[in-house]
Amino acid sequence: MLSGEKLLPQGNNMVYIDTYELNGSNVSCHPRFKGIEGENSVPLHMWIESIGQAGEICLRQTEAPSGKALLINIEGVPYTAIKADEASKYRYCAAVEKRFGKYIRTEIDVLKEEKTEFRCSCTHYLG
Amino acid sequence: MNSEIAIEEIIQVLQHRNPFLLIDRVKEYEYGKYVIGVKNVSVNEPWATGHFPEHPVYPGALIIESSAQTGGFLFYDPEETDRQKGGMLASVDSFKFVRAVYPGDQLLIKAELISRFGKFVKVRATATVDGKRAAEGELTYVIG
Repeated sequence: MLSGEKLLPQGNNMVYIDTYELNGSNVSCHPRFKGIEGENSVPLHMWIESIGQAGEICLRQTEAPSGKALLINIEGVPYTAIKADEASKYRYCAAVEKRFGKYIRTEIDVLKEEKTEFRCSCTHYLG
Repeated sequence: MNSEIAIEEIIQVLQHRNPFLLIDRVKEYEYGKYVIGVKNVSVNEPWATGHFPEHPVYPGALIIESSAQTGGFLFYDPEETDRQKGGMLASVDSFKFVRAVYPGDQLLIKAELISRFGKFVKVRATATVDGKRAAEGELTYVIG
């Protein structure tokens, strides 16, 4: 298991991926939501950011960009206000779908207790 | 068209609290049609130390959060008790980020009703800084 904090350029308080592991060209990420506990709902922005960071970890592992990777698009993310104490049940599986120049689109499957809840996508721009 | 909603009233409507309350004011709105909200971006917010260290950029996820909170006033009417329900966000259908937003910027967010199907409403949110588009997207809410 590798640390999201060590790979991502965001500061510690803005990293929402706890650990990740590589499975060939896919990356499996475990989210974390610091500061939110128990029955409290994970805020929308943390939910979105965690999914976007799963995409970023995937492209950093597979495409190895040296500079910034800016999230420029995200699609297909339902928000069900998961409780903080459910976060450990979730896992994201990310894979690069395509690259066109400096733009990389990743697909992320969001799983709860190993069942796919939904698939979404995000695009990053390599700056 | 209705006039401004100040922060004291915003707090009565939204359940979000500091540091997750990401709209400072509603500038104008028309029930069921559109809302224009204001978010003043400041370096003195928790995200600024981490996104990114030494180079703060207002995260796209927070633009979405600010937009979602703005859209929550689309079905708010302070005069009618049964029209005081806000909306609950159901999904971020798509959102794109066109221009980086920095501390000192004032985000003006317009959330407009696109369509309605029963309790589900689709909203387009456009965020601008100094008249220039910074981000836009579509959100789905459940109302009532």
